[in-house]
Amino acid sequence: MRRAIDGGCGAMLAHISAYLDGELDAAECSTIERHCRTCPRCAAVVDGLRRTIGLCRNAGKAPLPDPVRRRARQSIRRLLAAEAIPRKADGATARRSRRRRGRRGGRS
Amino acid sequence: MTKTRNAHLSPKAGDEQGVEYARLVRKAARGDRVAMEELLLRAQEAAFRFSFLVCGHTQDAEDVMQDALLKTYRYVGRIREPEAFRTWLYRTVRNACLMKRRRRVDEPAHMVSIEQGMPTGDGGYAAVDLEDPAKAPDEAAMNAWLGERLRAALRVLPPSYRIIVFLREMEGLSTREVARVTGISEANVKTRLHRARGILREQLEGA
Repeated sequence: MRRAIDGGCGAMLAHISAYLDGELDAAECSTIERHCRTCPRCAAVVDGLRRTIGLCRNAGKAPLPDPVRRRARQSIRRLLAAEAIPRKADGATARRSRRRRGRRGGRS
Repeated sequence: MTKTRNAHLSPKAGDEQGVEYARLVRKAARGDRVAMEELLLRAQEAAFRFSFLVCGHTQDAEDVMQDALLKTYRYVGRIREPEAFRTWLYRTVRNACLMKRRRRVDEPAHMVSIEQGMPTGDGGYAAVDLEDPAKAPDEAAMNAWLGERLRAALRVLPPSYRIIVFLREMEGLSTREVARVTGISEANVKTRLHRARGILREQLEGA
């Protein structure tokens, strides 16, 4: 079980990630928020971390540069085309076999 | 005490991404070509981001992307747990990056394991430099994509922290998924993430 946050700067900073990730209960959140209202230094840390996390998350959402995406799409097309050839060949072989069987059946 | 989900940050898209991946995997496994193409594109993009941001090797990225492409294509046909696809993908990409590094016999001395970083005299670990951006292909596009400040800040992080930031913050994996990909405990993931966020904040805000 997590120890209660005593309200000091040290304890506050130790729990800051859990706070920002929404992992603390309502009472623990209130303790942190109360502390930040009276401690500009800790409030600045919380705000700074929020901006940092936001920046990382936005970077993760950004689409890759066009040349990278183009190369990726080309690789996919090449792979799927290469995989399609044996399947088509298999289909052609099966059709030939069916025709042969049909001819044999007609003669008998 | 009852835990609450407090909206101190905007909700992450990670959970939604996991659901979307699972949906694509199911459709691709049933032979849906459009879903397969989308899945393969995403796998390659994840491979590129990992290679570039965690390992710092854009020159390896094409090979790692190709590896992700082929393995995803083969894996989709025999997947049993579509929900576990994302974890499998990042573990595969991570292993491909590590293997790529091991294969390099002429590797410069500053390239070390992404899990360790460079040992320092005081028993700690220092950051490993990412690849010189000047030598990287599509440099202007990559800078525009990630932002010079964030890229520089990530470069300062020890690799074992960088991978956590990448998976958790940028790719939106849960703590449990990150633990599965990296092979460390969830508590350790949280500790590293907490420290990494502090370092990044200092770098970005000059605190």
